[in-house]
Amino acid sequence: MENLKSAEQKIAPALNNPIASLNLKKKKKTSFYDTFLFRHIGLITFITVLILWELIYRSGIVNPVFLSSPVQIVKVGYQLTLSGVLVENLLFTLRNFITGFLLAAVSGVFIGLIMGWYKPIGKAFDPFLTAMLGTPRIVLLPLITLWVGVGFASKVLVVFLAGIFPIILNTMIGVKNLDPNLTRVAKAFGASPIQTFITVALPGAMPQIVSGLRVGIGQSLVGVIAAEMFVSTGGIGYFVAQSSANFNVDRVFVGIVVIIITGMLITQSVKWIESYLLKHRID
Amino acid sequence: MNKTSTKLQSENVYITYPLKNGGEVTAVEDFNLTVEEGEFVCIVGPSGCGKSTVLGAVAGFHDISYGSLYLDGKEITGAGRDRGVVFQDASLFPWRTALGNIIYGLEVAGVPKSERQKKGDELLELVGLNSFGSHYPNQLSGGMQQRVNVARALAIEPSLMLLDEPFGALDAQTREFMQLELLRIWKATKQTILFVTHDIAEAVYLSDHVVVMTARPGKLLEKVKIDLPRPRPLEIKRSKEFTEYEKYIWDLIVTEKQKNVV
Repeated sequence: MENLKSAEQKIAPALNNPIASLNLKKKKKTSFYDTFLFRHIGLITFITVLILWELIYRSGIVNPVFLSSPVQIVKVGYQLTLSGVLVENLLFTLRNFITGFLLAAVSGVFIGLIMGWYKPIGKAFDPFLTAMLGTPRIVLLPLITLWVGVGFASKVLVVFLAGIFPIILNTMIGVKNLDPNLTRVAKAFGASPIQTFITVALPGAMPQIVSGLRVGIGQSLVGVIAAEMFVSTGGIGYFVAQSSANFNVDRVFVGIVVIIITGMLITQSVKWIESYLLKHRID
Repeated sequence: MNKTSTKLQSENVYITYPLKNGGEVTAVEDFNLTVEEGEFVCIVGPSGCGKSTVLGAVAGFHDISYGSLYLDGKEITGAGRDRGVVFQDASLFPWRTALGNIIYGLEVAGVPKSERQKKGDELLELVGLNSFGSHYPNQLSGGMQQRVNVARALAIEPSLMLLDEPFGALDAQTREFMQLELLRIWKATKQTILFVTHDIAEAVYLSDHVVVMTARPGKLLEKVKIDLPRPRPLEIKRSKEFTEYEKYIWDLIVTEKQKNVV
């Protein structure tokens, strides 16, 4: 009797809703998209590539002068961290980068707001903006070293110039595309031009400003590394270039990995800043 | 006879727009209107009759070409905090909370923070949004957004409220309920209201006077006094008197339209 009852319970859903029960049967055969493999396919691929890489390295097919291996990178990276070389270079780079980028962010947003708000000014300086956006700013490096030498200032200036133009452009577009209804609200409530600027233009352009910062930060990072590779006596870019000149391929790879991780961390922090600044967009 | 003072006066107002080809189009022609203090006046008319243009001129958004507009005896020369504008599409700042939007005008006017906060809370209460102060506009329904819109205009304690089809985008039920709410708020605040709509029933339900305009160029056709008792429950819309007003205004507009077609 008990058995019968439980059997009845089992088929009850099928009797009540035959179509749903069919789907249920289908689902028993786990689809590929539900498997462990699919969910972690990115990580699995990554590890597989690392293993293949290690195997190729160990097989000796490639001359070890030209290639490092994951294990080698970790080993050398660990030693370099302990000796403080890596941290020292990284801090050197970050100092250049943060100084230059903060300057670029503040002045870029400011200039962009002005250029977007006062159309004649925007139009007047548009040719410069177009010229600079189409050019890899690193071409200015020889000129910069000529003017300010190879010290701190030159790297800060490169970072600044690399980052500022996309920030200006995006901020300007953001201000130009402001909802005219909202500027009318400010007018209706008797806001002065400066008040309108602060209460409507700045927050209204914020989504574009943030995307400008995101582009700018990437380009500033390129700028600082490139500058260090060419004209510097420190920094992670210098470390990579120097290691390459000394045929120390392990160190080159360590440097590259550090740059990759730094880049990823910076991108992630931009996402945090973004979600903070644009919190009204999230439901 | 009640002794009231004149709130808004429009004398021979013409509003023209320049055209791209160098000519100009007359949107509003010889518009004369007087709104007394505490009155609720609606402007109705076919779309494109210039009713929003009149409202915009009173708000100070655009200049008039001829004639004059007076608010409390002073000529209107531009936008100002003595008029509270409730916009057609709520036009709330998406980055400000409901409370932040309501106190916008006070903030711009330099009212101290504690006072702003107090006023904001009062208004949230008045428009029935007590627990929604910290919500962002995209978390509010269309009706709630318009409540914030109304509260924002009320916050600056304007001399005259200007509402430009504020309920046009709402669904029929919400719209009726908002009309009832607006009358309640109007009574509580003793405001003078100039309200633009194309919905005749809405105009009759809300107004002391309905101003009927003709299309292009917009002219005042007739000012109809609505003698319905207040407070007006929503059921009044089903009453005979109400439908008679409605039909009368409808006929005015249609007859005028046919004249133009012929």
